Amino acid sequence: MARRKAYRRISMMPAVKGFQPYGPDIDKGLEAVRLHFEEYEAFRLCDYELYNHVEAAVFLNVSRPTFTRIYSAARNKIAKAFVEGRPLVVEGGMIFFDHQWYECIHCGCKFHHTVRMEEPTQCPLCGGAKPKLMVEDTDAADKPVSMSYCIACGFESVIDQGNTDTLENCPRCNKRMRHRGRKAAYR
Amino acid sequence: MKYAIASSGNKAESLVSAQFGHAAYVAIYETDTQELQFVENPYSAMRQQAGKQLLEMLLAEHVHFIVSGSFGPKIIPLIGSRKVQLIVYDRKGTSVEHILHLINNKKS
Repeated sequence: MARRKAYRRISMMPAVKGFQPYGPDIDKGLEAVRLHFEEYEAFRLCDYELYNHVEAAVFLNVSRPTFTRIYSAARNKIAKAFVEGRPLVVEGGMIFFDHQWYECIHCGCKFHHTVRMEEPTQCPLCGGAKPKLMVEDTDAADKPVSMSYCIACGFESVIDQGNTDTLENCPRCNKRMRHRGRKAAYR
Repeated sequence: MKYAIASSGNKAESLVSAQFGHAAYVAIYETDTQELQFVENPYSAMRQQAGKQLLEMLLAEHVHFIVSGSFGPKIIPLIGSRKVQLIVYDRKGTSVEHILHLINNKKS
């Protein structure tokens, strides 16, 4: 079985659902190009926010090579829509949202906030004030993460996605850290 | 305001379902009239897309809030632009009654 795709983190939803070509000679029968949310997000990060691929990969919670593949797919699809005069629809993809889940400190419920760019003032269930923003999505909790550990003292830490090739030294004893799961044959 | 609560049974003492799409019943509660109504989930036996179908059904009912123990990863991208709010209440052994109690005593 092929490895499952990691969920990509989306910080901002697109303002519109898609784009339509206009003009006298448009062919209405053409099938729309489906741009995935993660491709839209990659395009936004690189060409609108002007981040480089390494930085943008961290935002999307994927590795740098995966980010580059998503980004090139995005450009490819956008070019296809422009050149062939097809409608562009933003939908689908393996995604989760970054800043939309809140937790109520009074009743303990977690809720999804629909109004973008605006903080909720009360819990929709018990009306309790000042819900707390959840850092990670509920689905992200059971997502596998890459771990590293220190050979000398056993200190463990989580490796940031997009930064897997450089291991930092152990913060406790300053020895080399090792990837969790690396085989003994390497020693 | 209209609340939909994914429930494992058709009584007020029933527990809130741990899954949204595969919940046996959905309790629909209207706060203005304080009317509680249990609807059987026609999609509970479906292996895939149950949550998506159930969500469409609830959107047709003009529900404002959906309460469940959890929502699947396919539901969350769908909700993006819809006028509905998802509420996860995942404390074990919570009954529909308890949720109604929270809603009725809501400070606003």
